[in-house]
Order: sequence, then C-alpha cells, then structure tokens
Amino acid sequence: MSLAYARPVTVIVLTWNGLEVTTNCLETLLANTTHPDFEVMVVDNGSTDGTVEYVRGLESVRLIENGENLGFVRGNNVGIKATDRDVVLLNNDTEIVQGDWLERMQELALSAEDIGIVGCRLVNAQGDLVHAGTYMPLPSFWGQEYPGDERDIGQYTRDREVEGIIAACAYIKRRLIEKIGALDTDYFSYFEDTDYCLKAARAGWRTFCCGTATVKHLENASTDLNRMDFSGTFKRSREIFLSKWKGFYEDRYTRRLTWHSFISGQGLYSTASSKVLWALDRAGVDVNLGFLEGIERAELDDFRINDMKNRWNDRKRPQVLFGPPDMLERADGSYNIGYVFTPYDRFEPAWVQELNRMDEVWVTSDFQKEAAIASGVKREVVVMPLGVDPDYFHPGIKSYRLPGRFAFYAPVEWGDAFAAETLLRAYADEFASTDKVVLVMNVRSPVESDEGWGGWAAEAAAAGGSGAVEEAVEAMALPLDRAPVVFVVDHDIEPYERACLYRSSDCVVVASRSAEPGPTALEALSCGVPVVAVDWGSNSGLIDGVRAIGVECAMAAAPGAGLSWADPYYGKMREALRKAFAESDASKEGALAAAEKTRSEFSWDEVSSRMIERLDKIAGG
Amino acid sequence: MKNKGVDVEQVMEEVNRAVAAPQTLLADFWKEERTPAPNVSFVYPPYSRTLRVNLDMVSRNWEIDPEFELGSRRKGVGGLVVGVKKLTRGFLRWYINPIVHQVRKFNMLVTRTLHDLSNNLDEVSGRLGEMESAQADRIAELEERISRLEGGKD
Repeated sequence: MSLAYARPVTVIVLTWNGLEVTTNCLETLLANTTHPDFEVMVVDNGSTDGTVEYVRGLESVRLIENGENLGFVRGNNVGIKATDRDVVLLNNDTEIVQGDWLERMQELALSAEDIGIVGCRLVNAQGDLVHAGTYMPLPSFWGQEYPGDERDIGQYTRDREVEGIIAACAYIKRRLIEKIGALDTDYFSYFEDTDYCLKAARAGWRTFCCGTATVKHLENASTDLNRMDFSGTFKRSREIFLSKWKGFYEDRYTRRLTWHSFISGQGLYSTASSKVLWALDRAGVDVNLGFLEGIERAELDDFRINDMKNRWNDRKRPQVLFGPPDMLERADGSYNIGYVFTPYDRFEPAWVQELNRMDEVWVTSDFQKEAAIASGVKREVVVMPLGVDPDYFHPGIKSYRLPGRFAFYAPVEWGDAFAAETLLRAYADEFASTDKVVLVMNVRSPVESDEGWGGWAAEAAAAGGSGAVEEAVEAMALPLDRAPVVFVVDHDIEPYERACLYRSSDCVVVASRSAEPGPTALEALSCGVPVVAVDWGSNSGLIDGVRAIGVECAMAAAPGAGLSWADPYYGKMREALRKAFAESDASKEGALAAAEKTRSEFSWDEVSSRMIERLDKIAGG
Repeated sequence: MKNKGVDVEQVMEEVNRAVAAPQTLLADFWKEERTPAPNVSFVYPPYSRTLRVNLDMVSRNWEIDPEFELGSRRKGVGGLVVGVKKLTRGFLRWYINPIVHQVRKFNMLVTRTLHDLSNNLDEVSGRLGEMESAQADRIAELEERISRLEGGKD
C-alpha cells in the first residue's frame, strides 16, 4: 500500500546481546520495509557479544550505546528522547515479514486525532498467532493476550480498539509522548506497555491493534539469552502495576450479573457462554460464573472465564440461567432470568412450569418467543439472539479448498436431531459421479446404549471410535453412480477453526430438525459462504432464496418428546442442493455482499449491548 | 485457547485424498453389479481411533444367527414361500446349526482376543506415555541444574 501522506518515523530497536536475532531483525527490517520516510535507531544496553560492532557496520542505522543494561523501559526511553518523530518500539527478536507493515500501522494511527498507540498482530516462529491486543482478567491480574497461541487462520484481521498492546511492536504518536511522557521508569521490564496504554486512555487517547499488519515475534529472546530472572522481574513489575491500577480496574465494572451455564466442552451452551461473557466483560459487566450442575470446577485455558469463577457472588445480582429448559431451576438471587430455547415446536409442560417460576424469560428468536407464549409461558419473553464472533467468522479466514470441485459442507450429529439420511439420499440421487461436486459430512457418531456381547460397541462409541455411521450408510444402499461423499467422523476440530471449514466449502448445509439449530448458518453467512438450511425455526429469518436457500419441511413427531420438529422433504432438499450448485455465483455474491452486515448485526458485542439495555431496564424497575 | 484439536488443514488434506482415492462400501461388495464410482469415504481421526472403529465393526458383526427371521417380498404367494423356507431350514438344521455354532464360537474368541490385544495396547501406550513424560521432566530438571551450575560459574 502507499500512504497519501507519510509522516517521518523512527523505529527504535533495543538490544542487549542476541546478535543472531538482532541481525535477523535488522536485515528483514531494512530489506522489507517499504515506508518512504523511516529511520532505524538501535539503542544498545551494553551488549558484549559483538552486537555493537555489527550495528556500527550498518550505514543506515543510528546507534546509541548505553554501555550498561538499563532495562527495557529506560533503554527505550533513551531512544524516544533522542528523536522528535513518531516512534515504533520494535523488539530485537522480531522479524519483518510484511513490506507495508509500517504504512498500515501509521495509516491507522493517523486516521483519528485521538488514536495514540497502535500495535499489530504478532505471530511466533511456528506461525501461531500470539498477540492481537491485551486484556487484564480480574481478580487474578495476570495480563493476557488475544488470542493466546492459536494457529494463524486470519483471525483478528480488522482494526480494533483494545485495552492494551505489548511493546514488542508499538507505534506511538509524538503528540502523545509530549502529553504523557515516555514509558514509566518505575518498571524495569514487563507491564510498562499496559501501564502506558492505560495512562494514554486516562489522558483521552485510544489504543488500537492494526489487524492488517503482522510481525513475527520470537518471545523473550533477550531474557532467555541473558539468563535473566523472568519470573522475578515479572512479579516485581506486576506488584508495581497493581499498586497503580488495581483501583482503576475494579471501578471499571458498572453492572453486576451471575451467569449459570456450561462452560467447558464444545457444545452450544459452552461456546456461546464464553463468547457472550467476554463481550459482557468488555462492556463493563462484572460477571460471576455459576454452573447449572455444579460440577465444572476444573481450571480452564481461558483466563478471563477462569477468573469469573473466582469472583464474589451476591444474591442481589440478577441471575441468568442459560441451558436446556429441563435443567433450569430457580437460583438464589433477586431476579432470575431463564435463557432457553426449545428444539421442538413447543416447550414441554414441565419446562413451562419451571419457566413460570422465573422473573423473566429470554429466548433466541422470534420463533422461540411465539413457541414460548403458545406453550403457556406467562412471564415476559424477550428475544436475545445467539451471536457470531466477527474476528473469527469473516471472508478473510484461511480456506483449504478442494481443487476443481464444488464442495457442500454439512456438520451433523448422527441421530434423530439431524436429517442426515435425507440429505445424503437427496445428494446421492441428485448428483452423479460426473458432477464436479463433493459432500463433506462432519459427523459426530452416536453414543449408544449397550448392545451386543459385552457391550463392546457402546465402549467403542464412548471412546469416539464407533463404526455406527459407516454401518448406517451401508444399510442405505446408495445408488451406484454417485457423486463423492466424504464422512469426517469424530474429529475434535478446534472450535475457533470452524470458519476454516466453512471457507473451504462452497455451500454449508444445515440439516438440523431443531427449531434452534445453533449458529452454523449465521457463522457461514458471516464468512460470506452461502447456506442451504431447513426452513423452520430460528433459521427461517435468514432464508432469502439466494444466499440462504430454504428447504421446505413437514412436521414430524420427535422421538420421546410428544412434540414435533422439522422433517425436510426429500424432493425439496434435492431442489435446494441443485439450486445452490447451479446458481453458485449469484449465491456467493449475495453472501459476500451481506457478510459484513450479518457480522455487525449479530456480533456478540451487539448481543451483550441488548442484554445490558435489558438489565438496565430491570434495574430501573 | 491452546491448539489441542485436529487442524482443519490436515482434515481437508485427508478429504482431498479420499476424493482422489475413495473407498468402497462393504455393502457394495455383495451387489451383482459393480459400482462405477465407489465415492464414499470415511475419514477417522489419527492414531488408534481407526483401530477402534474396525474393532467396533467386528464387535457388531461377530454374532451370526441361523434362526434369523424368514420373509418374502412376493405378494400373495409370500406366505407359501416363507413356509417352504421354514421347512427347508427345519430339514437342514441338523447340518447347518453345528457349523454356525462353531463359526460363532470362533468369531467370539477372535473378537475377544482383538479386544484384549487392543486393551493391552492401550495399557502399553499409557505406560510408554508416562515414561516419556517422566523422562522429559527429568531432562528439564537436569537442564535447569546445568544452567544453574553454569550461571554460578559465570
């Protein structure tokens, strides 16, 4: 990219031994950076391994020798004071892998008067995304980075306002430095970056993470190379940080809430809970996490959620109970909200009885609201839709396309809740081996009750290695001349990589019979991928016949429930699949055009805003 | 969030391979007409899961029953056909049933043996994992001690 106006900028690289990484950093910085007006300044903290001699030999690099290790903060401050330009603090253990990284960061910094600090995405040596902004979970105060060791699949590629960024790569405007000074010298190393972002925020400046700039970062190279006491330095800095900012963080929360649900695992309740809790936390809601079954006490990888388990609960907080209606029981607390959905056309009488013991009921769609009222729910019913994470579900997510074939992708659980057999038969009858299509079914095998001698089959199924799907498909006697089908059975794919599966296909098929089939259709549409979905329940609102093609259905009795759910017509399924294939270009165009709107309309931040609005209304009586 | 699960890139590579070289359904082997395009593949997670799936299939199919329910697709004369089949089975029972029982016994023993072997494999793998983990811990501990000693000398 080229900037309309390039402001002069100094890139400050602090060194303290580590000749090898410094050489790599400077070589890639000088060779790859395309910014028209930047200078490189190396500030050396008393290296003894030939770093100084190496830098002296570089004509285009300005060298400042401190002669001793002043630490990260004082060392960088020497550089900041030695220039009157905007600065970029760049660790010597970074590698520049993108030519226009500096233009992109500067463009974002100059896009608004009040943007003072800009960080960027950082990937490690293995290519995993390790940084896209920072946050501070309470009450542990162990600072964390987004997303924390995930494969780089193109997540966090939009520019976002963040709480903080790390100083491994930080663009700081000169006007901000003039206003609040350089880094706080109370710190030797660590926490000074978060401290600086908070100080900037207090002075009215915002911090952003530039999603379109990525730098490679080999973490803690100087600490490791110089055998520095990482843990001791970190702890000391944390104590200093707490003494300055603990009160600020505690005052940040303006509302309180207890959330009862499931949190570990990959089910709908767990994944939706963790996303909405993050969004509520960002919006200043102090969430205390309870559980529906009281058994999920294990430590989680997610620090923010983990901390929510350890927060103080009080009965005055509103209580949200998010789970299957048959598991809800009124909790202690002043105001109980049952957040539920039914997979059927109605709520069962026993569920209705419990929901009427709540103070109000939240449901996921207008369809669910109608079903709740028609089933006899007397409490106020408010629609709180499930959301989508715009940083993980967008058209820029990495795809692994199958060459030369139109790919249908269908996630299903083999069992009554999905019309997997209707989909499979419709596809196999509609497409012949000469059609350049493939159906990829991501299947979860059923865990069955004991059958056969010694219960072997049930054991295998419970271990995630059942052949039940294979046998069921064999029993279907599919037509001989058929287009390819690949069953991906019982793979534990990371939930955050789900968008890659959508992006690797041309059309996502939602064959659920449920009135609340979950966020699959919404997520696929947010990625700009067209959808074929059963036209019933919550998904009906998404069907437009172009980007989301509906499959008409009858109603069928759901086993054991005495209620009904969708039974898609075989012929209509065939028609919908053919239409998605034949009108693929128009569908994709429509899906891509509406992807941005879908993401912003249904983002978890938007959902949390709705919740906060409702909570305020409740609090106001 | 940590990378613990299967990578989508890996999955899609497997899917691509399966499309290029599809499997044949077991059911298709019994058809008189050969399928021109097998085109149905099952991709299982890596390592022992595939073993479990095959073992599961063996477990579901070891038991053969010579007294299976007899039927007929023909309308009208169906009852007569079933009657003839039952009569034939009655005549041949003295000959077929002992063989079937022998095969059942063999199937059961093979299935049980495969399960025992699989369980043993799990146990050995578990022990190996524990040993590897203990060894890694020991190496880390030794490396730390070496670092401390070197640091002292510096």
